[in-house]
Amino acid sequence: MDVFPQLSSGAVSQFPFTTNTSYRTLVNRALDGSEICAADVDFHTRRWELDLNQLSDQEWQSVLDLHQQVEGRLRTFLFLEPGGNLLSWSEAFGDPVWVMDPGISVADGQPDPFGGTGSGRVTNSGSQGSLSQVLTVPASLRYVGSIWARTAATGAALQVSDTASLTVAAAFDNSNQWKRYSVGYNLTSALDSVDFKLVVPASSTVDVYGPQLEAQLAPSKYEKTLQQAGVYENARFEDDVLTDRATGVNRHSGVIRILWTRLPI
Amino acid sequence: MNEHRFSTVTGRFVDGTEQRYRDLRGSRQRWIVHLSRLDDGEITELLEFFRNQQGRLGEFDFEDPWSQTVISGCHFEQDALTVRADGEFDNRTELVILGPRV
Repeated sequence: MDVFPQLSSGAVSQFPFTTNTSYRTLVNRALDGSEICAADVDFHTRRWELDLNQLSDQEWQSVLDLHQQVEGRLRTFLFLEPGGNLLSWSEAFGDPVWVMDPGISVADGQPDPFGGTGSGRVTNSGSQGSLSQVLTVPASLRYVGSIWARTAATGAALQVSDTASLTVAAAFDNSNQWKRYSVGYNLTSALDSVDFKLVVPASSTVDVYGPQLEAQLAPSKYEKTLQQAGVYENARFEDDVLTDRATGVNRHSGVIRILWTRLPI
Repeated sequence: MNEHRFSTVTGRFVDGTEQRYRDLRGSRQRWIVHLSRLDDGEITELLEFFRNQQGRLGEFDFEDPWSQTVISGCHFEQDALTVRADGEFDNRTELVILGPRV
């Protein structure tokens, strides 16, 4: 899998960086100035401009290797949004993207810790089970998973794994108070999948809000997602040329422009 | 920034005189909103709102910062939104909002 590399800091980018989101609206303007607008529903683009500075030889080589591998603008790669939530449908636990074990049921639209109705009530009427979302992203990168939860049960937890044997977990306390839990994933795995899993003990209920997985070391503020989250397959470099401003030994700088469109170009 | 925009068409003749007419009735208010030093939560909320509007497609209520009047039927002038992150909790962007023709 071709993927844009993380820097040694664990982040995908440095500050400053620029993101651009574009839609396309078809506007039919009448003689009296009134307008009829229609959305071009298939059109959605994202652009990033990453101003990378003082990269080490190894960091720059990773970017250079990817640029050579995809031959500049020609082929696509996977880009993980800097600081973005990689999970889809973060407030719709009933969506098929969330996989439920037998005995697990979810009621969406429950009161959340901030006065809204974005949380889900996960009930397990069977033996210990889970609610999970598996992403097709390299398990060799570093991630952090986070979620708001409250439960009176013992044994509930957030797990992030490579869908095989490598797992990290954060156990929830049973105070039945809203609290944000996070767990960092920094393991060496050759698999191309990461599992974000909520473990629910038998015959218990867990309220959850704001599930988030980010390709960095520490959690940032929760970002609600719909179908398109921070995983951008089919991203491309916008330039055939990759310019290295070498400012010293083991110091490389350059501006990387990346484009993603909803439909393959 | 706040402006009222009319639609006047000007035809200029060879002798330098001009003829003007109103292309569209009424005027339209337009706000250019520069936002800076936004934290991650604020910029996320703004991006979510822009996504829900699908750029210039959707209409929403906007409170005129000058008059504090809530104006219905406003929409974004742009289909694209650019956000620059200068640091943690330090994002900036620019929005252009169009009011209804009155």
